[in-house]
Amino acid sequence: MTTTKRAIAAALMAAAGAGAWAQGISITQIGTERLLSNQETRVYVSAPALGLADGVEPPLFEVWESGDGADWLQRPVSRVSLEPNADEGISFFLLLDNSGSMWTDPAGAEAQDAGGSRIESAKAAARAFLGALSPKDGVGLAVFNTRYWNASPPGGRPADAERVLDEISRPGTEDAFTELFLSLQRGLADFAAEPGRRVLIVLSDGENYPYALKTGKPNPETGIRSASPSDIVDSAVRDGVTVYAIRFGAQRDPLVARIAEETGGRTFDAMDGAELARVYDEIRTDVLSEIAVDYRAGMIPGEKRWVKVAVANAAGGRLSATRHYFAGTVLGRGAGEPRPYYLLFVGAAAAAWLTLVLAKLERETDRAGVRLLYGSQATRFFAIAGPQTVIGAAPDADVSIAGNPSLKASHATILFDEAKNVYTIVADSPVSVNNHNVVRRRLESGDVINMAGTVVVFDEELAKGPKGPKGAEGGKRR
Amino acid sequence: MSLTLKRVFMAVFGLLGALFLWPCLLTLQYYQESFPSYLLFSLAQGIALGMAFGAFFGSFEGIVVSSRPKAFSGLLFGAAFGAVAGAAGVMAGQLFLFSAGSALWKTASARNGVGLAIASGVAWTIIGVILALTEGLRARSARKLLVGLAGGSFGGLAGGAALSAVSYFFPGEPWSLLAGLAVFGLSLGLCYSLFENRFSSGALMLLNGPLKGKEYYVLSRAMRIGSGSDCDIVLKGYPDVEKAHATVRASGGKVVVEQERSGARVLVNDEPPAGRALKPEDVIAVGKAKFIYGYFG
Repeated sequence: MTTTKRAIAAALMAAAGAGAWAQGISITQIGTERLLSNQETRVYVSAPALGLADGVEPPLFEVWESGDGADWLQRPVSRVSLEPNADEGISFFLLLDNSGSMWTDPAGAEAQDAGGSRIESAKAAARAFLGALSPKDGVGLAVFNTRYWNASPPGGRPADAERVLDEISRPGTEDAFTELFLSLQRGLADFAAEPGRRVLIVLSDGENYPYALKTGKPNPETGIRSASPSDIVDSAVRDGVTVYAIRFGAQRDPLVARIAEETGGRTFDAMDGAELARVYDEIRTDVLSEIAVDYRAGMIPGEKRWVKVAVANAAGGRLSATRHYFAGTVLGRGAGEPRPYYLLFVGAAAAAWLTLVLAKLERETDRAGVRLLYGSQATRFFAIAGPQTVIGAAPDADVSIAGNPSLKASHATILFDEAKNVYTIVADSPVSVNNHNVVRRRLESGDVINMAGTVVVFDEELAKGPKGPKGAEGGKRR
Repeated sequence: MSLTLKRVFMAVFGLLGALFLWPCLLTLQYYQESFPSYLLFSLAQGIALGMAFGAFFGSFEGIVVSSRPKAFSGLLFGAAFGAVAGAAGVMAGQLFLFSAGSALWKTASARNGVGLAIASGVAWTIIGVILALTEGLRARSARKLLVGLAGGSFGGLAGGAALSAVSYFFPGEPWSLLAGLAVFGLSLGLCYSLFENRFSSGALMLLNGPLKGKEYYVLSRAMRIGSGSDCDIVLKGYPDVEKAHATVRASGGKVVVEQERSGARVLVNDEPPAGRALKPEDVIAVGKAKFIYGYFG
C-alpha cells in the first residue's frame, strides 16, 4: 500500500472510529490457531450495542491490521459468524480464591454458620454456573490461596469441577494468603492449551497478598517468584485468553480490573451470593452472544500486531474496537531497507568463488627431482642436477635425507644421460620402484622409489624436450 | 589438493554461501509484507537458501579437480537442485508443524514461538540433507549419496539448530542471521567432508604433472579417468591420456582399475592390471599420469 493510500486509510479509520471507541463493541479474544496454516486470524467481538436479533444476517465488518497501531492496512474478511460459541463450545476455567478471608461473612466478620461464609456463596454461584453450561463447553477449576491447586484441569466436565467444590476446606494460617497474581499466571499456563474460545474467570475477595513478600519467606510452592499485572496480561494476550474478574466483597484489588480490561474481559463487583450468581450468568451470556470475524491476516513484519474491527450500527454510525496479538518472529521481525553494502557481501562471495575457479591451482613441473611422499617432511622437493645424484643419509649426499636409520649413507644414485634426456636409478642393493625390487632401472615421472622405508616420488617435466636438467636448487652437483 | 586442504575448502565454500545468501535473505525479509502468506514467504527464503548453498557446494568438486566446465555445470545443477531442496525442506517443516507440531505445542505462544523455531530447524535440516545429496545425484553414486545423507544429517541438524536458535533468540537481528547462516554452511561443509573420508574405498593421489598432490576419494562404483571434462578425474595437461582412458571400479570392498579401450596405457606397478584388486601403495599409471592408491588424510 502506498503512503498516500495508507494516509487515506488512517484518516478513514480515524473518522470511523471517532466517538465510537469503547462505545458498544470490543474485541474479547484474537485466535491465531490458523494463522500459520491458513493465514487466517479470528477476532471475537462483543457487540451488544448492535442489538442483533436471532436470525438476522451478520453485519458487514471491516478489519484492519497494523504493525505499530498507526499505519493501518485493510484485510479481507472471509467470514462473520453470529454466536459461534454456542455451536463450537467455550472453554471456561474458574479460578477460585480460598484464602482465609473467604471463610468470613460478606461483611468480613467471622461467619456465624457454615452457609454464611463468602466461600460458601462462591461455591453456590459456581455450582449454578456449572449447571448452566452446555455439553459442548469444557470447564476446569483451580483453587488458590498461598498455594495453587489445579483441582479439575481445563477441558473437563462440570461434574468434575463440582466435586472439587465439595473438597474445598479452610486453609491454615500459613496457607491463608491471597497469592492472586501468581495464581492467575499459573492458571493461564494451565489453561492456554485449550482450543477455541478461552475464558478464565477469577473470583477473589481481596487484594494480591503474596506470601513471600508479606512474610519474607519463600512460598512453599513458588519460592520467591512473583508476577506482575503486565506479565499476566502478556501471557494472556500471547495465548489468546480472556480474563474476567469478579471482586467479591468490599476489599477490591485495583489492578485485577486492569488485567481483565487489557485481556479483553470485564470486571464485576459482587457483595453477596445472589449478585455472584448473576455475574457468572452475565459472563456466560456475554461470551455466548459474541460474533466471530475471520479474516485473512497480512504479512506485517514484527511480533506485535494491532487489529481494528469496524461495523455500522443501526443508526448509521460506525463502531470500532482495537486490540493486539502476537505473531511468530522466527520468519523475521522485518529487516531494514536494503543497504548498498549488501552488494559488497554478494560481490565478495562471488569474486572469491570466481577467483577459485579461475586461479591456476595446478603447479607445472619444470625440473627433475624427488619429493618425499610420507612423514613430517612430506612434499619436500629435492631438485636433481648433474649427471649423477646420490641419495642417502650422509650429510654430504646430494639428496640428504635424515631420520631413517635403515637408509645407507649413499643408498642409491640417479644418473642423467643428457644426450638421451633419460634418468636411471642404480643401487648396490635392491631398491623398490613401483613396488618392484631393482638395482638399475630407467625412471619416469611419477615413479615411487622406496629405499629402506624412505619413500620418494621421482618427478620431471611430462612433455620432455631434448634439453637437460635445470638449476640445482635444493640439491648439489657432484 | 590434499584431503585436509579439501576439507578446509569445503568449509570455506559453506562460508561463502552464507556471505552470498545473507543480504539476499535480508532483502527478502524487507519485502515480507509483499508476500501473500507465511507459506510463500517461507518458501521464498527456503529456495534462496537452497539455491545459494547448492550453487556453492555444487561447484566445489569442479574447482578441486581444476575443471572449470565441471565447476560451472555444478554451479547451475547445484542452484537448480538447491531450489528444489529449499522448497521441499520448507514444505516438510510446515508439514511437521501442522502434524506433530500441533500435538507438541498446544498453546498459541508455543506454536508461534518455539514450535515455529523447531519447525524451521526441521526445514533447514532437511534442506541440508538434500543439498548434501547433490554431488551423489550428480555423479549417480550411491556411496556419495550415503556420504550426503550422513554429512547432511549431522551438518544440517547442527546448522539448522544454530540458524533457528539465532532467529528465535535474536529475531530481526541481521548479524545474528549472518552468524546462523555461517554456522549452517560451515557445519554442512565440514560434516560432508568428514563423512566423505569415512565412506570411501580409499583414495588416489596424483604423483606427477600439473595436478600432482590432488587426492580423489573412491566413492563411486565406477570412477572414470581421462582428459574429457565429463570424467570424474579430469587429467588436463597429461600426455598420452585419452578423453576416456580408464575406470576405477569399487565393488564388494574390492577396487580395480580397467582400461576404457585397448591400447590405452593403464598399468598397476608397471604391469597390466588384469583385474587385480588394488592394495595400498600400488602405483597406477594412466597415460603419463601416475597415482598412488591408499588411505590418506
